[in-house]
Amino acid sequence: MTDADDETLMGEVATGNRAAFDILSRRHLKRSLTLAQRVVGNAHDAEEVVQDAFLQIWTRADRWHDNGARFTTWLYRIVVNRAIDYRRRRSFDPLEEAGEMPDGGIDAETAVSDRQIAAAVDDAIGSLPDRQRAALSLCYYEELSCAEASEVMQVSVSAMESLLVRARRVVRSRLQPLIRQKDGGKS
Amino acid sequence: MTLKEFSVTEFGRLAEMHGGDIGRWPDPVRGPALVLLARSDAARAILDEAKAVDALLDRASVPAVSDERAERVLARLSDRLDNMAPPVPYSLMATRGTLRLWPTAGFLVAMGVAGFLVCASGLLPAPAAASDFTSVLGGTSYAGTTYLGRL
Repeated sequence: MTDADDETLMGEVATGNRAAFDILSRRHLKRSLTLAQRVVGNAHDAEEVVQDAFLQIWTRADRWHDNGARFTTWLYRIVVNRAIDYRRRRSFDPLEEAGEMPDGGIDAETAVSDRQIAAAVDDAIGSLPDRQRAALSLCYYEELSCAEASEVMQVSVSAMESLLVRARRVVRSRLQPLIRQKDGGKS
Repeated sequence: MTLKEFSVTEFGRLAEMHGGDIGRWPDPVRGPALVLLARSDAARAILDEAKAVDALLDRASVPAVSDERAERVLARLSDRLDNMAPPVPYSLMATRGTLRLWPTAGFLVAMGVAGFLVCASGLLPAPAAASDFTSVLGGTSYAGTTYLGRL
């Protein structure tokens, strides 16, 4: 059974087959954790999100219909939705348009260490509205196509593209001092 | 998309969306993008900026998911599953919904009978009988206009 594809295993899970569920959850746990952590922002909450997501898959396995949809689309949808819910419960959710302003937190004149750069990038991504951060996580880090990511987030492809463009603009704007520094102050 | 349609503006939009690696752009636009890139300084500048953003995105912390951490999460998930009732097949859930109909229907019938008995025993004051049909429907609006009943 370990060689079975996701959709076959999901069919077994729908009949209450715990062994199939164990294979499926083990197969997708690491990537789900990575995705959840990118959206929710910390390891502990990501673990809660992923556990809840897999529990939902177990309890609602009967709702799964193998009509051409990929299991991972369903899984990532649950993970992303749960991660966004989790984050909203924990903190104030910035408005979709609120991130366009540049942040003056990084001084272009100051040489920054790798660690500081990573922290600045994390901050820039963390400042994104939830849906923009989810879009960036799915398309840039998880390398899903816009069409696949739009299915996960249940939006149109054009809405997905818009989320991506806005996310990258915000990140670019907030990290502009670092980009200028890298270019030697050309721009 | 033909080369003629592929403007620097469109190139910029795609770079903002998909980043500085044309290999990650959708198949149909890769060829025209490379052609434009070869002949346009503006396109090259746009792509350089997108690559700079990509380079920074690549510097973000990567969530560390060690084998130990994964096993720990799986163990907790397994514990939670062990403490749960097995999933109820959807078909059975539908049946349960039907079975729950009878207590609800019984309750509604009992309430109807109780209401009838209360009215029949005269416990509730009955409204005064209307003199005619139009007086029931007629009245005065908020603006003071009378209607229907006085017609």
